[in-house]
Amino acid sequence: MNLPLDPRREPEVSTDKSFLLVEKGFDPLREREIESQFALSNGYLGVRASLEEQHPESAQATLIAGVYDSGGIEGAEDLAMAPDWLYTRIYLFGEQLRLERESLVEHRRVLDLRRGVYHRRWRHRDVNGRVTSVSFTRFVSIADPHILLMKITVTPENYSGAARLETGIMASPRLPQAVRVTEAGLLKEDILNLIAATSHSGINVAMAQATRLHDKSQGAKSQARTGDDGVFETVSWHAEMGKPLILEKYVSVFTSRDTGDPSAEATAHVKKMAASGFSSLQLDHIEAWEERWRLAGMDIGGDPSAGHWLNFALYHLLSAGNPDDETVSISARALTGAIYRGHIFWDAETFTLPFLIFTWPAAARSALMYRYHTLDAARENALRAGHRGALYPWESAASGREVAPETVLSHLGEKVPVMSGDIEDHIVADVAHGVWTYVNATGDTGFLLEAGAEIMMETARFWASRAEKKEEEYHLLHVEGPDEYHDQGVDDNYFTNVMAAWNIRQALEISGYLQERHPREWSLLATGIGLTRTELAEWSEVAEKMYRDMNSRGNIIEQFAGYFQLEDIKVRDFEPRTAPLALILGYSRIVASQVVKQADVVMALYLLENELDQEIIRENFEYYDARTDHGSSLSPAIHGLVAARLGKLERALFYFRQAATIDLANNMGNAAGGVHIAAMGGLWQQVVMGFAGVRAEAECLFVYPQLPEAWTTLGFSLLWRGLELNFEIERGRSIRLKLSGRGNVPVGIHGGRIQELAAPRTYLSRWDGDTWRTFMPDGPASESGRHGDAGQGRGRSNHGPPGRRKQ
Amino acid sequence: MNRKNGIVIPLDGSETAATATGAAQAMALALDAVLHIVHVTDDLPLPEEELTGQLCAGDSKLRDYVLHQLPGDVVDTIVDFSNRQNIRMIVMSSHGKTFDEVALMGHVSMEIIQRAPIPVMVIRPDMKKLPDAGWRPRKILVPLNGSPEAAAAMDQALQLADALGCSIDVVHIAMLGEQPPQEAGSMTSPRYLDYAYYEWSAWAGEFMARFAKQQPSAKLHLYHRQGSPAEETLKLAAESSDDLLLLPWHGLLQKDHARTLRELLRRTEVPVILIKTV
Repeated sequence: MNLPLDPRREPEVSTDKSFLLVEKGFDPLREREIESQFALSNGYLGVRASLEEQHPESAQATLIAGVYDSGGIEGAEDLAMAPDWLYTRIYLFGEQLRLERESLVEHRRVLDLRRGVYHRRWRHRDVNGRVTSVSFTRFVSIADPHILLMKITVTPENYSGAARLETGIMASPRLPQAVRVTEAGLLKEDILNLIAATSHSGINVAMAQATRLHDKSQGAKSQARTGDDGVFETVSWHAEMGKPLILEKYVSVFTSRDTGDPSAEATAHVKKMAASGFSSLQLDHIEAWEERWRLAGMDIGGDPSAGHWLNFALYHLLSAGNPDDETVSISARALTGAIYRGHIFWDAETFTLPFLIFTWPAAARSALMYRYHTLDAARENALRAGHRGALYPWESAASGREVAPETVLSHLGEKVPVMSGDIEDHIVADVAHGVWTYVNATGDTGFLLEAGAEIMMETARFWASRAEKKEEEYHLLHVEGPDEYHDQGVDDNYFTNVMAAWNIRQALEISGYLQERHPREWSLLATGIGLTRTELAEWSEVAEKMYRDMNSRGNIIEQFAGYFQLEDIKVRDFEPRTAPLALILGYSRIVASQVVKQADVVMALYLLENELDQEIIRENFEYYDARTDHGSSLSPAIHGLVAARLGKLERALFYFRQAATIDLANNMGNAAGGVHIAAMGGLWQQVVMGFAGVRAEAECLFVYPQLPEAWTTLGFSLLWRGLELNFEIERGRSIRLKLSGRGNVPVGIHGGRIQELAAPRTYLSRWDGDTWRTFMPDGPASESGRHGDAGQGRGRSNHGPPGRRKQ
Repeated sequence: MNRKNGIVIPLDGSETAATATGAAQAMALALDAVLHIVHVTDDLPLPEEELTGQLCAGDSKLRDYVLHQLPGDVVDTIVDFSNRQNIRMIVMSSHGKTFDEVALMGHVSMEIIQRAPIPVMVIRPDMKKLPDAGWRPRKILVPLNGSPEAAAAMDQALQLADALGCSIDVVHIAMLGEQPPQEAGSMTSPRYLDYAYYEWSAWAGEFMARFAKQQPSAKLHLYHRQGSPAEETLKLAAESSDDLLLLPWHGLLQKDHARTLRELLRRTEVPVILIKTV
């Protein structure tokens, strides 16, 4: 087990403080929210930042994407809890070191967001004054998702004596969703091996552990132990004052979802890892993180807190992506907590994926393929509901069946129906929107032909089948919009109606494109799903005649039929408060009121901005902003985004701060259950689509920055149609756009003309005191860029002018 | 350190002060503690029997106690005595000789609750049913505001419940018009509930993990209410047949402080134990 050391120097913690998350001391009350904030993940698995010695305050969890179990409850699919590979205990003179107030000399945790490495330093003083320094460094590799590594250093500061360190993989607590250990053993070459299984879904999880000591001079001796509770290695040594014992722990994880023999894979893998050495694997990991940050990184000048908050959000978003598994997507709390049971909501396509689409398309593609692989289940859902096409479940897991509960027990023990699984159908258009956004941004025709087109057709077919014709208009009756306060079924929810119509129109566009450009593939698809010209014509009519409330109360859109008749309540009249508004007003009153849980009409103002003119957007934003309670973490960033586009920058910044600190300040009180990954995706959208004013439309990527006063500059990158676009915005001065790669792309100032910009080249737009000017080449064109049609317009965008805006 | 196991009842010879004798003896019996009757007077000491008769207003059931006649300032003496004798709890009436229904408490009682570092059980003499020596509380109601201090009080509540064999009803009362506590580690009701079926249970689990973190042998129930804290606490105490209120507080009962506590002390129909959180 004492392998030669890797001679390479270990990298240190990032020097840029905006990439460091630091927690000093130990506050038992906040421990579980800290575990969420400091979680490590590589999209394949996630590890909450629990203390290695398994503190009583911990809610320890290692969660593996796609490993769901019913726990014996029919129809349930909940993310299972894998064994605890962090488990480590240290004993001095036979006494275990425990993190307690009386013995605490120093305790500091640092998560290096840039490198995805967690550091913990702990100094402990026992009753005899003996001070021991302990440090842990750990990461879950993004260079190889099956690699988990931890380095443990124990140093007696002012004494010498007998010491013991036990580290291993411990069976998770006997919770219904925890996997059960089925085999534990010690293999050749001192590799510890553990196999655990879900209780009902038949998934095996294999973990293998190897360790190596840096220095055997302290006479350290190792002993292995295996049992029902896990596999463990104990190292005993005579600790000498000032002399550290350094142990590297290598753990590999495979499941039966990955391979036929996960145990053999994990064992072989851990051998290779130990041979490579900790430093080498850590360098691979850090290099992989650098590559992720290269495109995803953002820079805000003038507001260091905003920069730090964004880095925290981007770290978790980057940790959540998984380009290697098309059968999983990103759940409500990613892999940082089990509160939402690993279920996948509209959060994925509408909030989280846009970030991945524009910065890491391979991960976005993979998550969208999850919807393709669950398309059959969505078709069955539609059939069960009496419709055609694909009805994606409101809550989805491995099977793609609806996993939202049908009823829940109230605090009075009464069964209360949960309607979202039955009627929150806008998820169908949300999935389609994710598909369209991906194809539009990447031009990935391969995905469109393989999966995207079929999703678009089946979702459109669902809407055509779901809509009911009354007189000359089509209606969507008994639905639930994003505003889940009105959850018992409403008619003609504006968001659902316009998204459904949009879904159908895009499907028709794609059908036309495929018939023209890929007739063979179109023919195969249409035949495969039984799609006829007659049906397409029917869809067209439904989209055209879908009911939209307009002008029933001036420019204000009615959120659903009868909404204006409800009691008008302004949410700001109920501030300050320490309770949900739904509780203060009571369920029956809130249902009978105009209080909106989260962006609903306002969501449509964002996603379908093209369909409305600026004045209507402005009036509706004001109306609904006064009535929205933001009872979902998804909501503040979207209101902030629309406010930013409208030039309401102070309000936009208020919402930005609210969204950015949901987890860091635990301002919704539920960060202990995992980070709010979709709110983080919303935050990215607020900055890029809101403050920078990016609109990725079919014909062009438009931009129109309006930065808040506190921000002097904003820098970020996007991938657009195969090119890398790097934006550097100076508030009120300039937009410098550097195009990398080769080719031409349509880019323009929103409200101005479409320009064909050539790469590689840098362009500049200047603020003229009234609006942003057309992009002009900045400096000489590079060799390959000279042939491009730099700055030649080809018409205006099809929007009305956005009007005079701030800058 | 010796485990604290004495109960003190200060008596001044008034009938109102003696209304706490039943509760004091009940606590001593339930906690297997020594009952100390403390009478502070600068007069010449009286024979024990005579004094007991005067102090206990004829409560002939009172037995197994130690009587102390001590000179000095009443409050100083009782607080010092409690510190020196390793006393677990002071049990006293809210009023003494100068009983006035309008006043929240007598001045001596008011000072004792503010200065005593140990829990103080307050008996309001005009409660409909005064505890007697056979009283055994079965349910304690603890309102928690979600501040870190509440967690410290809860530790004591759990110990007491353990010793008494009680169950504990914990209530968190959300408020309109109030800012949540700002201290790190505070946790109030969720300001928002996204999916109530996931988030209520997660919130309840986290609330109890923060504020009832010892593994108690006592059974715990968590209630969530909204409205006026005093009103809701009294309502819940009546609905749930709680025998005892346990109130964490900061230890200051001056004007404009502890509004909820004042209201509870004024209107309670069950004994109240005050636990200082600082």
